Amino acid sequence: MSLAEDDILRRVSAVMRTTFGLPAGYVASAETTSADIDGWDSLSHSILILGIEEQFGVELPMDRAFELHDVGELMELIQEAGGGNGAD
Amino acid sequence: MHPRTIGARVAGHAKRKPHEIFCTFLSSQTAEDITFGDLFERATAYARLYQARGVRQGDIVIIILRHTPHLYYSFLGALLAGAIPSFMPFPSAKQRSDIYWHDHESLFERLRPRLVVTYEENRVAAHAYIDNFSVETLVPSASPCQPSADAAPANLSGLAASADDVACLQHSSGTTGLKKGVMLTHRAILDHTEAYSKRLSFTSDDCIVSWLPLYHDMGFIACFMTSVIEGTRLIALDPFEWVMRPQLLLEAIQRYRPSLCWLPNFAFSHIVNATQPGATFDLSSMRAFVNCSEPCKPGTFERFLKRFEGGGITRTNLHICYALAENVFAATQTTLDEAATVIRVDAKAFSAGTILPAGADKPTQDLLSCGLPLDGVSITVRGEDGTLLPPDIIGEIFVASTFLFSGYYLQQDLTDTKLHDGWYQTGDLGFMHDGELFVTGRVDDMLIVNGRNYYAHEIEYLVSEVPGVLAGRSVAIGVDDQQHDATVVVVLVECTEPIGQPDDLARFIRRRVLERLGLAIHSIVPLRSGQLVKTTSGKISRIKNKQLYIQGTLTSLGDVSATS
Repeated sequence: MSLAEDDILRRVSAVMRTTFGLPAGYVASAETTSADIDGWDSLSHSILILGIEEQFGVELPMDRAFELHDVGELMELIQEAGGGNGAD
Repeated sequence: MHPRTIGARVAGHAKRKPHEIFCTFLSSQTAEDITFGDLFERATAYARLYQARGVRQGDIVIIILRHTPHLYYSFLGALLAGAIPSFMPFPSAKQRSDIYWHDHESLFERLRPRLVVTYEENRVAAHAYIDNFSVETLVPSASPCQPSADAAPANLSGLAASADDVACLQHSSGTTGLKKGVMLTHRAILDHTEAYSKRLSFTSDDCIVSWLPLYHDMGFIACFMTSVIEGTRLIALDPFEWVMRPQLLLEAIQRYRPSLCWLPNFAFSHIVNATQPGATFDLSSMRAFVNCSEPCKPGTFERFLKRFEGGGITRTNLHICYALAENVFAATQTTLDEAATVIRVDAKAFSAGTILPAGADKPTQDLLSCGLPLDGVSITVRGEDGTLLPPDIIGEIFVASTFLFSGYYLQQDLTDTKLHDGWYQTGDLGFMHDGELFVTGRVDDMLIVNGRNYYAHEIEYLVSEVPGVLAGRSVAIGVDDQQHDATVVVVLVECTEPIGQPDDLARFIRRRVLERLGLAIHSIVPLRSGQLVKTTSGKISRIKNKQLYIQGTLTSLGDVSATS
């Protein structure tokens, strides 16, 4: 994983901690899915996406943001939207 | 005198005001205006198409479509052709298509639909997953305007239907194979609309905004049918876009200035939780947000009010309706120019089934009224033995009305168990207080999550089949999630020895329930054999185990979420 990806994952994990009430040390992996996390349903997913957009200063396409399979795909979407190029 | 069929109402609007907008249809940042003239013309094109495909009067037409105006055209077209249409949900992104279609086999076996209107991807899946799939399908053409109809003139026999003919079926939520087709006549739907509009002081200036799906009675009757029958404007959003960005609803209100919106309780919370902090919206056009189809919580209203009072929302704009598909929709509704009644009661007496005024220094509970019965609706509350209960005593709610359903389609036995001398046994618990209805829960094990109904025993059955779970030794319970102000499902499971990886167990359970029911389990609590408490008759007790879970006295084998 590149430095940039490391940084994206770190910041995605921070948003996940806030959204899902995860403990301070929690870090996701690219393979993490909604089945791994308490309370990750379609509603909290939209709160996660809102938090991600604020964190990275991007707007994610709704249709693709809704059909993500794991955190790795979310990271790709953030990069495609131009996020993760610097500390926001 | 108004025409006594729904199709004739649509024809009448098209004749009187062909260029007025019936619906502003919002999708993917585009807005399409559909006039009453367009609506009738395109519905007529569907009627013609149905007849060319051999659909006859009284045939069942099932409509399974994503957010598209063809939902309206195909439904009204079926009514114009004298057929009986019914909306049904399409598979969600997380649901497995094969399971979705296998679940429909027994339902279609019973309903024997003449035609299923669906999109190409779903049609292909039906043929791929059901052996000898024999139901005819119709895929709307890519054109947003018209299906590719032949030129034969339409025989709009539905215009001359009897008011007592069954107009359509509303399908209850729950497991697909067990869905019940609630039969509604033209008369019932029109009489309901008349009574409900009167309670809402509905006028031709009203405009409804909705993100609700049409396979649910709130989206179908309160929003779509009211607009069709009253001839008023509808602002329609895509349900999936709304879930992702609930702010879209607020933006639509600001732009189009509608006056009425129906939302389940969870939606009020979701709008507050997932709207950009600090964003402001002018919501001053709204006469009412009506909370319906889930137990309404005073705290939810307070959060909504606090967030949007700057946009012009006051307590008198927040309302409650008690509705059921078997009564077309609404049975009670709070009065729009007054704040909904909230009563503060003694919490201990309440949990024992009696309503007593709150005493000093005692735990209390606030309850929201669902309002007075509509004209033509009678409500009684009865005990387990069927005796009528006085006000302030909790029992099962029974509804009688001048627009009650005509029974479940081809299920007379089931109809007989629910309809008694004109009274419908709802399965809901509640009490009457000063003539108003308060709803408190369910008689059975139904859980209402995000506006959808699930049965605990169905979830437990799926969980039991997961490797590592002791068969028949799991409990699904609905719990309040304080962080998001929502009801979530928690599963308590006794595990087989040796105990496997709790994370794997949770993943298997979540996937299985999500793929089959489309429900995301909030958390899974693995337990050793024998930890779940049983009733005196030896069954595992949902109530007692829920109490233990809430008290935090169940010793879990390990936190199976990533929170450990």
